[in-house]
Amino acid sequence: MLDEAFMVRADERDSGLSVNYNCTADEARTSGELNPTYGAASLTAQCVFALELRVEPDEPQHANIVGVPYKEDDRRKAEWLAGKLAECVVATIKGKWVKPKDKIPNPRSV
Amino acid sequence: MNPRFEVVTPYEVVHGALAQIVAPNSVTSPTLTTPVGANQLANASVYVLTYGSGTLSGLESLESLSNLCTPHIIVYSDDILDAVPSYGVIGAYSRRAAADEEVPNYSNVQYYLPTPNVTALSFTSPKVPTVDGNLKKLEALRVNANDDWVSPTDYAFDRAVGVLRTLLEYPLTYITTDSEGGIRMAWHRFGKKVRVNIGARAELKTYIYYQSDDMYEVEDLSIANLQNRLRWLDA
Repeated sequence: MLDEAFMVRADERDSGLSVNYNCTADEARTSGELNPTYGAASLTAQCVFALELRVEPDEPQHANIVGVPYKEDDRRKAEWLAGKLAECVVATIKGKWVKPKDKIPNPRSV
Repeated sequence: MNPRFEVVTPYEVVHGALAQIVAPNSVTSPTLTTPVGANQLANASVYVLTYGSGTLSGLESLESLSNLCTPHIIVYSDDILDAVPSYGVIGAYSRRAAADEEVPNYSNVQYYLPTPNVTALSFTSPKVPTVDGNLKKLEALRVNANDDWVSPTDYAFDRAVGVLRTLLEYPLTYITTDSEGGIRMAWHRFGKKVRVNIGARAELKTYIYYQSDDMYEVEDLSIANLQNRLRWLDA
């Protein structure tokens, strides 16, 4: 199921895979825009770079992994990279977490 | 078929109920005369795994079955399982672990050492046929969709039903929706992956993706192609 987490969503088509960075997976899952969350995965930026992808920060704790195509644009590469990024995962936190009403966004963490 | 073993001592664990099976004393020469296929395993009230090199693949298969019904998980080493014909699910790939072999420690599985009292397994009457299990997972995408995930579109749902009805003996590893209401289905086994993407609408891409090691490819979705790919999973 982890591969699915790295399939670019339609709303990420232009920006890239939305991730947190400079924070723990636990912080990422509880500060993200997804609600509820069912876990968070941590991966290293080095592993992302090794796949010839870029990590472009746009906020203090938010970045986009750029270079993963949307499946409508390049389905073969999109599927393969999703699997490769899942292999980069070094730690996961599992379990449903529901955001209290006063919290803010995101899904994955780098 | 009458069960040869009683299920006793259930435990609450992460992925379902864990139970210990105990052979009645009347069982003197247990043999498995019924081929163990994925369909039967999905129907079984007791699952049996053995440890050793086959454990991981067995667990992957079990995980793919775990949403079909409430599995009772037993990990037990017994040579009799080596002879069980199978479609590539639990048991057939197992062997007895060597004395100095490290046995993987999975948090949701209890391991049992061989004892004379536990020698075989049998299956009780069906609870949930595999095909229904797959379809139930699909239906759950609709029923449970709310804030958690996007509900599948009617177009994707109908196509997925057509696909799953023809795949009786291939329990899904997972099924989910994409961000637009398309449906994503996956079968994983022995390090190989087969995924099906059904676009939310007719103009969106529908395809099969398959991967093994560094080989990966996509092809058009057809029942014949998918059946070939799922057979390839076991090859």
